[in-house]
Formats: sequence, structure tokens, C-alpha cells
Amino acid sequence: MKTPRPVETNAVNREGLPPGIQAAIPRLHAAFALMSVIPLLICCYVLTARLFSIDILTGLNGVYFSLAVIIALLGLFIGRHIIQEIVRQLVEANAKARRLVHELGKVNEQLAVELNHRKRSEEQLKQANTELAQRQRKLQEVVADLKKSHGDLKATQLQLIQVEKLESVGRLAAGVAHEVKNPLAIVLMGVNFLSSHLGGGDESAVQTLKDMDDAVRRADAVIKGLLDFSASKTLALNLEDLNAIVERTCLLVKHELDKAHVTLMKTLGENLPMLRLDVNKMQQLLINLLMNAIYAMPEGGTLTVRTYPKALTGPGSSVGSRKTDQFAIGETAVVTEVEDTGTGIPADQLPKIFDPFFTTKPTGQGTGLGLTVVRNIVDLHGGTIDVQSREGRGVKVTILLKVRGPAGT
Amino acid sequence: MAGKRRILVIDDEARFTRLLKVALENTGGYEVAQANSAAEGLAAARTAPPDLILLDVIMPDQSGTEVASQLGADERLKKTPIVFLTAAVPKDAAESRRGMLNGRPFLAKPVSLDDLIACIEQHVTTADEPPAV
Repeated sequence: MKTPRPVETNAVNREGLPPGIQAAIPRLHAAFALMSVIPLLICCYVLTARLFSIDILTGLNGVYFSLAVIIALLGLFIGRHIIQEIVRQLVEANAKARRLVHELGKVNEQLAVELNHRKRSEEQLKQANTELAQRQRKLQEVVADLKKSHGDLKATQLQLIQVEKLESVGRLAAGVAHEVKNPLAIVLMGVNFLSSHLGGGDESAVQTLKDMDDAVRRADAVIKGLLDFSASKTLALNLEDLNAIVERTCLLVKHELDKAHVTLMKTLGENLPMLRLDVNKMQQLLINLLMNAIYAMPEGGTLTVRTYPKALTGPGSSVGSRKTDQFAIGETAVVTEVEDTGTGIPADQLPKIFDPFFTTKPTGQGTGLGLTVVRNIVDLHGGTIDVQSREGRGVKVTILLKVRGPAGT
Repeated sequence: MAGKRRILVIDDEARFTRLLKVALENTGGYEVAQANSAAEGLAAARTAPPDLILLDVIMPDQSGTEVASQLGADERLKKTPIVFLTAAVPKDAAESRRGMLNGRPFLAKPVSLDDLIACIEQHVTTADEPPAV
């Protein structure tokens, strides 16, 4: 049994051809059949005639032969015509296919252009997205900065109001100090006179007069504190020997040291550079620090005062290259330390110690302006102050001063 | 102490001068004259030159420093010690200036009687001493 021809293969092949060529294939088959079958018939006729010795050129055989030749020529002519037609159609189909390919190429190019355009658009969109995200981040940063600035501004405003209030108090105090001190002088003189007049006869009277004496001195201390606080914000700067100021101040508080059984230790650096200082203000600063230290040691102790130069080799809380840094790296500062072995300052009170009117002393024993004045003086000199407390073991105050004096002087 | 020291107090605060007079005279060592204005003080000093003058700085008619200048220009009074006594300068400021104001000793009000007497004695004694040759 013969295997049938795989039509599917031809069909598949034909499917890939242009429609014109597909239509021409059956006619091509017919043309080939005509062109091959008719000569074959003639040849068969001639061979048969030869075999049987028949004269094919004469009589009726001649007519048949002539008819056969004419039919063969006609078949050739028709086959040729069909083939020419097929070739023509093939050429047309080819041209059409070329045009189609060309058009497809154009379409392809357009598609490629559009694709590129889309790709560029996508990239631009991505970039725009990134920029938008960056802008949003920046905007968020700006908003955060604005919030912080707003907070700072509020704090500064409150601080300014506070400073304004305090300055008003200070101005008022300075204005009335003279008027208050005169009556105080009269009261103190009267109390002293009465004390000396009474002698030691009446104990209750003596105690009363002593209490009055204390009250007058307390009132005087309050006024003094306010006057210090409202004191001029300008400095009378001269080249001064810091150690000499420390020595003089220690002499001024000697009586208080003795009374409180406090031992004074001085370690004053040799060859300290001369500093541009306001001697009165520095003395006031040291008195305030020494008196605080003495007060912190009610049962006696050791008060240590040190001075020494210090090369600022690395960045610190106020050492660096920021505008707000008082000292630059590499600069030499002069350090003053006042250290006591007293009760120390509780950690929760440490941030408030420079606040005006903040005091840990009982009512009537402190104005709460001592350390405020100290910090003002340090600030005026362009220096820094640091307070370290070990609760129950004492306090160390460290002041750094510029060798070249405050900026702009 | 040979005899009583003659002290002139010039201060516009009359109650203060009155009390100071009583307190100082009560010690038995002083004879105190009081004046309650610059002009009155200058006249009192010229009339009866004292051993020491306690002089307020801020007064309505003239300042204490002006009065001190006029007293210094007076031949009879130029060697009379003057101690400024005022409420205008706080005590610590006085101490930090070594108790001197315009080259003269200085006491800040309120001052105790003991400090006042110590200051008077220091400067009167200095004035009593013969000048160094």
C-alpha cells in the first residue's frame, strides 16, 4: 500500500506564500501537464508508426499526425502563455511583497521611533518622579527646619521677654538702690548705736537688734545682687594677671573660709599669659564662685582653685570651626577651676543653676543671681563655663578664657 | 587718742547725719558737726575746720566730688582727710577699688558703726602723723 503524499506539508508551505502565487500554482501544474503530455503522445504515435511500419505522413495518418503536431504546438503555446502569466503574477506578487516589506519596514521604523519616544518619556517620567521625591524630601526638610526655627523663635522670644523683664527689674533696682540704701544705712547705724548703748544687759533686746542687723544686711545683699545683675554690659578691659586677681579675691573671702573651716588650696599656673580682663568683674565672678563653694561646705572641707593654660587640640562643646564656637582648635585658653568637696548639686537642678532667681539656698540666704552674674561675666569675656557636680561629693566649675581677650576688643 | 576728733558729716539725709552724730558722740571719742547740703557743709568746714569730713556723693545742690574739689582748693582745708560715704556704689565695687573714689577713701552705705569708726581712725591717724621727710 502506497503512503499518501503529505498534503499538510504542501499546505503549510503554501500558506507562507503570497496569495497571487498560491492561486497560480494549479495553473502551473496544468501548463506543465499540457507541455509534457502532448509531446509524449506524439512520440508514442511516431514510435507506434515505426514499429508497425505505418507511414504517418501520408493519407489519413498524415492528417492525424498533422493534427497531433498542431495540438502539441497549441499545447506548448498555451503552456507558454500560462507560464508567462504565472511569471508575470509572480513578479507582481514579488513587487507587492517588496512594497509590503518596505511599508512594514517603515511601520517598523515608526514603531521603533515611537518606542524610543516612549522609552524617553518613561525615563523623563522616572526622572521627574525622582526630582519630585527629592523636592518632597527637601520640602519636608524645610518644613522641619521651619518648625524648629519656629520653636527656637518662640524660645528666644520668651527668653527676650524674660531678659527684658529682668533688665527692667535691674534698671528699677539701680534706680531705687540709692533711695533704699540710705534708709538701710540709717537703720543699721541705729541698730549699731542701740546695741552699743544697751550693752549686754537685756538679752532679748540684744537678740532683737542682732536680728535687725541681719535683716538690714540681707536687704543690702538683695540690692547688691540686683545691681550686679543690672551692671553695665560693657567691659573695662586691661591686660591683667589672672593669678593676681585670684590671690586678691581669696584674701577677700579669707574670713568666710576661716568661719566655715574650709581649707583653701591654690594651684596657680606659672607663666600664665596676661589676659585682657575687666578686673572688677572677674573679681566679682570669683567672689560669687568662692562664696557658693563655701556655702556648699557647711561642715568644712577643701576648696581648690587652679589656673593653667590649655592647648585646645580637639573639638569640644565650644571648640571647633562653627560660628557659635568660642574657641578654635589649636587655640590656647586659660582655665580657671573652682572645686569644692561639698554637697554637690542634684542632677535635676543642674540645668537651672544659671537661671535668674534660681537658688538652692533657704529663703533669705540667696538672691539666685550669683551664677547668672557669673555666666554674664564669662559671656562678656567671650569665654565658657562648665559646671560638673558629683552629688554628695562636690562641684567643679571650669572657666575657659581667651588669651587674646573677647572678640572685637 | 588726744582729745575728741572733730568730724563733719555732710549728707542730705538729715536722719542719717543726726543718728551718726548720736552714735559717734556716744562712743565718747568724737565731736560731730552735721550739714545737710553741699553749701552748708562747705560753710561749716570753713567756719570750723574738722579733723575729718564724711561726705555724701549724691546731693541735690552739688555732688560730693565737687565739694571735695572745693575743699581741696582751700588752703586751710586741703589737708583735711575726706571719706566718701554714699549709697550710690555697692560695697563690693568699693572693695574692688580698694576703697578709693577719686583718690579718696570710700565707704558704701549701709555701713556698720564699727567699720565707720575703723575707717575714721585709719585716716585721721594718718593725717595726724607728721609728713615723711
